[in-house]
Amino acid sequence: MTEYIIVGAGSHGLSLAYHLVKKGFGKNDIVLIEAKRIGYGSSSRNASRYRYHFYSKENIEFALNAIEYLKRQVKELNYNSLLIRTGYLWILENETDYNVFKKLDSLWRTYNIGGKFLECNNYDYLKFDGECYLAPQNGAFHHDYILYSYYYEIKDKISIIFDEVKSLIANNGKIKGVKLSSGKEVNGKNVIVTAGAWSSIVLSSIGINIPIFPEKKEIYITEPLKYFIEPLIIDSSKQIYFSQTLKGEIIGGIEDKREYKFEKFSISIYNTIKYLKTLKDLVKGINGLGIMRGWSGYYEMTPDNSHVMGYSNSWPEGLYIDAGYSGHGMMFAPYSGKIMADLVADNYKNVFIDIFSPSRFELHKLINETLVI
Amino acid sequence: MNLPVVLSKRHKRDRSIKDCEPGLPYTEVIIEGKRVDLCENIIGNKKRNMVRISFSNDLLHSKILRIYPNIVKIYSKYLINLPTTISEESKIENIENISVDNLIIGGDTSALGILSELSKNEKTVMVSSKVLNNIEIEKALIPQIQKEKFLKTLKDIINENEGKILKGVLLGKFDEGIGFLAGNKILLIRPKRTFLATGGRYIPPIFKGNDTPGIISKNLYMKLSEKFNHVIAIGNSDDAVKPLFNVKGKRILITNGVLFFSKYYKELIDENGIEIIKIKNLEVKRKKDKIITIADWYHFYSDVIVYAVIKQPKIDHASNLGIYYTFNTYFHIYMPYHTIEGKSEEDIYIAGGMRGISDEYTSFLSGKAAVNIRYIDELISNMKDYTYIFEFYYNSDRRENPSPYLYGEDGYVCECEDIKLNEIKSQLKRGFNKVEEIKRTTGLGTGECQGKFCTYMIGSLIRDNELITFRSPLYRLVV
Repeated sequence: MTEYIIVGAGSHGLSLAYHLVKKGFGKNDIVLIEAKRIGYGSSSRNASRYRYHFYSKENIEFALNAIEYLKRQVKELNYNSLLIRTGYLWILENETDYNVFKKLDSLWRTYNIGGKFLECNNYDYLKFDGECYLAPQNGAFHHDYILYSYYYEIKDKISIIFDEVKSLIANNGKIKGVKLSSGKEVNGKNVIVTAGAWSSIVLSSIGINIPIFPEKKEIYITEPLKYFIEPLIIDSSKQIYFSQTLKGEIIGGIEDKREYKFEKFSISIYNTIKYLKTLKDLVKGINGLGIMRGWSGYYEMTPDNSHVMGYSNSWPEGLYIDAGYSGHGMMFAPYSGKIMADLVADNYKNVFIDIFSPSRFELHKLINETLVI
Repeated sequence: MNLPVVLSKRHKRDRSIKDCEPGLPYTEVIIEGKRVDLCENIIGNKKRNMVRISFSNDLLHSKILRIYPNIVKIYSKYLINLPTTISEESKIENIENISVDNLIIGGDTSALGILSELSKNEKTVMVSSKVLNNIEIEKALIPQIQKEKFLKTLKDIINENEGKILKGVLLGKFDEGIGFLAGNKILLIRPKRTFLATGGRYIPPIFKGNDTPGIISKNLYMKLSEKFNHVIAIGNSDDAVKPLFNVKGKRILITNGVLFFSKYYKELIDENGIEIIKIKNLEVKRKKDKIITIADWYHFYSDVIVYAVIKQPKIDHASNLGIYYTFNTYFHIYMPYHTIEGKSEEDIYIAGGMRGISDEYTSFLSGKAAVNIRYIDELISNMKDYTYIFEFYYNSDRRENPSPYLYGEDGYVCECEDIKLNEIKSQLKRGFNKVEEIKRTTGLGTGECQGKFCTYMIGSLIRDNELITFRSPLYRLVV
């Protein structure tokens, strides 16, 4: 019987496996199961940015730990994760936005991550003449290089199965393993579900309801220009966010409020056009710029827009979760993998395991997070 | 004649067009903020003396750049060869939504074959990226077909269906329908049945100097053939023979020894005295207006090198529209799933080059057969004599052949992002042996052409069954 079954080889599953390998576990101890391919879900469909600036104290404190860990971690990795500080720039188009950021700034200052109010025309490529808020501590990285660094480190050291988990197996209040699409069963003492938006389906197989819902989001990439937009720019009135990659493409998305459900990973041409036009309304010199491709993925939303990690006392023993990151999972993956590994291997319970526990939904101890980008 | 020369993005090497299909590398460049179509105005771009820094993947992941990633930022700001602005306004004015019974995508003989068989009572549109008013037929047409007569048939089909044929570039599938860029508007078509006949393309092979300007596809050569006297062909199929009928010194260089010639082309090779030279290693250099080809111990001088390694169906189009495909290790071809008559998926049919046919009359028949079962016997008998792809259906020989793209162990795999074969090899050594994994670790397939060349070539080298996800839009969308 294997020690750890990890369901889902996205950033969180890979990071967990990596940290367990570092603790000395190997092929007989770890089975990683993936239904599609490495990083198939949100891990390879995101904009690759990191931030400290959240609305809730819980997420700010988590980010302070997680981003510091991310910065240390990338130095260890095999591929260059291209982690650079670029800042996040919010365009404050109206009084309400401005007041929200006044309040947030004073909160952020208490954590030493205060930003700066400035005229948007300090950025000569912006068409908007008004107030902006810069959070200079935030930045960018390359998600694939983090994923593949982890994958490279573990792929020959653990067991990897490409198959879909049909159901969990539990008996007498204990987890026993998983059943695969192929009919095969894998037995294990601990099962950790890191299946992103699909985590709720996996858990529902033994009657556990976890409020993680898929919200389809589209993202587009333009043809490249010389690097000139450093920060991630967010305009909440125009409901757009965008940034530029080091390869020169402008990558971003536009709000398209839709109900939570599993949908095809297609894109809408009307949304694509709306994004490109809004981008051109905000940035000078790109009137002829074209979209090269677009794709979609899920924000794995929870009722309080914050992730779920650890276990619930009402669950079978040996069952764990690390999912529901609501649009900010990639940047947290290295740290979450580490504290999950400490939990399952050493029974060391980091303070965040309680704060982000799945029990909080039953106990109505929700986190007040509203800053989803 | 000199082809226009531009400098590449990272390695600042001289590059030129290889093929004028929309969206392929160097068909368009940005000069002083304006988009210039190098296929329309084949003009040289003034060369600048630039610092040439080879920024390879291996260097990107070196220790020094891992510690100081900001160096990459400086490189991306100042040293990379990219435009700083694209100022031209878009011509797009509106989106037109159309619902039809039949949508034909493509404009070659197979598409016209489909069009000729569809019922006049149904609503049909055909969207082609080419202008169809001066249709041309390539040499050599099969013997029992008279060129003039066939041309007249095609022109008649075009005339009879006036109004149904539109010019537009395929943007791919969206939630709202299949999109096309058509002049000053976007067409969004919702068809009951789709016929995909956008054909195939030739993937450039790999060897030292394979990015030298003047190495062009058979398709581009056929457009410019009058301008060149000395030609060397490289390839392993009927299409490599086509450029050689009217030139002196008829030579085809092949590697790895596997030839796919139809019965008819075998005769033509003999009749025309075409020499097939098997070589182990190829290297190409440019000296003034001439191309020097060093093939093992041979030295050849020519104006151009024309490549036509096996015709690859445009899987990017097929896969984007929801058609599954598979890799055939005998032909080294990525083939959409289809029945002998051309049915691929529920309500999607393919014809012509999309199923690897390159003879134009057989292609025409495959279009007819996709609609009308009456043509199936004629199609099969034509395929037997005039195409090499016939064996795909009836040969049980599942022999695995080596990749026909490997003419040497050096060269560029991707001209958009300047990725060399050795960078791919270092990923293979790490155990990443899927095209998707190579895309994720090297950026292959994410450049200007979005993988329309490189993914096929790497796929063939590593015999991967899958390429990458070809996402919409398939062609750059400017609004």
